[in-house]
Amino acid sequence: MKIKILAQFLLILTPLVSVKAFSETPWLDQKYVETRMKSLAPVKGGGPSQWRVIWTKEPSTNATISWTTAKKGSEHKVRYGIRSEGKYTGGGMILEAQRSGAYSGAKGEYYHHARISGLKPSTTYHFEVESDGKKSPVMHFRTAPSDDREFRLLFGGDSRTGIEARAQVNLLMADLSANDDQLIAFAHGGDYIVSGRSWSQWSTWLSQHELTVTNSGKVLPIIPTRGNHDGGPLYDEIFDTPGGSGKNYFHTMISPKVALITLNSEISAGGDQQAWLAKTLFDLRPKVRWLLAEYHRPVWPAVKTPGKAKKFWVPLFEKFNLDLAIESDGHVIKRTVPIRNEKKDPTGIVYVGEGGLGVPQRIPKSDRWYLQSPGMTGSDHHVMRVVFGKEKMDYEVILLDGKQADRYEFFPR
Amino acid sequence: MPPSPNPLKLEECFIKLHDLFVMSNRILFFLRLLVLIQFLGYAAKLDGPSALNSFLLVSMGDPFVSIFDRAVQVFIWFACTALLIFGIVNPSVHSMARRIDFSILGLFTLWSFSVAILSWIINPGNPFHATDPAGHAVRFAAPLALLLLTAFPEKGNIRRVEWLLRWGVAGTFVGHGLCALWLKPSFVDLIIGTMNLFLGDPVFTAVSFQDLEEALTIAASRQAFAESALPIIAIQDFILVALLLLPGKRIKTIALWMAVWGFVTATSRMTAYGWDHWHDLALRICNGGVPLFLWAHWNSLESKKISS
Repeated sequence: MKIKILAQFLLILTPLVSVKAFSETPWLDQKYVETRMKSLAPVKGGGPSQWRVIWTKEPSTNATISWTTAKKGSEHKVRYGIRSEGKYTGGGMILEAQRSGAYSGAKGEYYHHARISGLKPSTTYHFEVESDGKKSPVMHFRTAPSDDREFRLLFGGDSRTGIEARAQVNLLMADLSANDDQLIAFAHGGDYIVSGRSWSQWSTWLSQHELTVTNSGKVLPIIPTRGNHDGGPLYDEIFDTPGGSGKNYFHTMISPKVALITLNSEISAGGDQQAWLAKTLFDLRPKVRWLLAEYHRPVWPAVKTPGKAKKFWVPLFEKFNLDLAIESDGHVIKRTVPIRNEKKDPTGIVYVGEGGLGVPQRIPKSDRWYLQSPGMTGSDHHVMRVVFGKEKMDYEVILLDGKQADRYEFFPR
Repeated sequence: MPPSPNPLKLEECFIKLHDLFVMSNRILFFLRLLVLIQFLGYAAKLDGPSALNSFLLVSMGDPFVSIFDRAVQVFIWFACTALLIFGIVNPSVHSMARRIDFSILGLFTLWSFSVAILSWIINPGNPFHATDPAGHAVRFAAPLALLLLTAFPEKGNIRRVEWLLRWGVAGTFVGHGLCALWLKPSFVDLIIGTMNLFLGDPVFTAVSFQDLEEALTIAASRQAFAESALPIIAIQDFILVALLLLPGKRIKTIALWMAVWGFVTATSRMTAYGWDHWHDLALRICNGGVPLFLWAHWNSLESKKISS
């Protein structure tokens, strides 16, 4: 009898304990993740789903709002503007999608891109997308600043396998975003899915991307990078051909003092791209305080062998004193020592990242010289957060449970 | 009464006839060296995850896959040493040492074949990786050929193995030809990087905006050159394959040209990306080495025919 009472007591207590344990990190609870995944907007009928905001070149005044419909439809538009007291000021602006088309290899699903320009910097814009009369919820994002104010960005890569873990990281990002007005965008380092030509895999990724939207409707604009698993036409159809067809490299002036150069390690690294990189670094370095580059294949890897771009890009990074290079592909956490001329050098470039947005993690080869202390390595699902300040740039790695796995301070050169 | 044949001369004739079909040990040792160098390349490449590692990562997880790679790497180091010793000592076919030799060659064949197939499987939808089973053909044909030639050195078998190697070389040239035709980015970089090595890299030497403008023009012209050269290279590769596979023909010039081209393209990994990429050359040593082996074999057959 006593055992029976004890068992009943434990049965009642278990959910209470689990609610308490996961109250701040509910995405660690598998059931919560499953419930959230079931609540994603379905890709069916003529209504919009898989909404996303894309940033490429001038995010203080421009953004692309994109979404999916299960049918071609006839009228696809976005209503956007500044809202106060639940209403758009002046009724808001309406813009028809400039680019629509069928996703390659899909079963009738269509993409729609509305390229918005003329936005005010550092301003929260609300928007809702509408396809053939069916509307999305009202969401919002904040444009990039045109002044030297402090702000934050999230970085991460490799969400290609581990669908549940990917959902967990997305929920973590939503949580970080919800509690932080200064967090304005998310730069994905590539390898979104396993096969870039598989619409079903992309479709799952796109639907799950909705998990990065906060309860208040805040959307983190995405700055995309192409990874080695993202080959084929779908990448350009999903992200509106960032940087131009066949290139996918560009630079984003996130503020007058912060620039992010997105490179494409999946095309020729020498030739045109190398020359463009040299010209862009030459142009940007005197203007900005924080100059970053992001690309997929690491040139100072923690697991694999160095990417072929190393020969073409690293001398330029060093010549123009890049502040931070963000890499993916290895499925670990890493931060190198500052490197210049193949040696540890306090004036050198620090390389971070390697991808943990859901992909199974590897064990880093921490015996490599450039990963020794004060560098670091780890192995866990994570996202990186960078704070761009006037005096310093703070870098940290946040794990699924919200704990900090690494942090580092950079000072202006 | 006709004179009876001199028994000594008859024996010499038989020896010469035998030599005509049995491959010389020197040529076989050359093939062994090629396999050995190739696997030193495989071992060096295992500093990063193998295709099998990536394939098993989801199901087995790390550290299992890392330990597995490390074990394979250590095995290859020991096996290469053993291959070299067996090549020098040349134990008899039925000895334990030779059985170990055969096992190593069998495992080497299996490893190179698995890597080629898995490299394709783990990169679904990637057209360049889809050519890997063909492009790597010579890598698994070489150890298999060495195994067969050492175990069964009979006349008919040598011919079969010769065709195995011809098909291996053909697969590699077709795989690389397709990648060239589709302008594989790393092939474009091989040409640009090699040009930069010999002609100088204008991007790195630029100091002013004007220099950079000039560098942009030069870089664009080098990229354009690479992109226009690759389809021509592809056509060359396909023609070479067709000539190599002509039935009843052994065109030595074609084998020799394929050897030169195979070595040039394998070496371009170092000229484009730096001398620390020696393992990329080692891994591809058979691209030029096996055509050279065929050339040497055909040459020896010809000289034996003349002398007999």
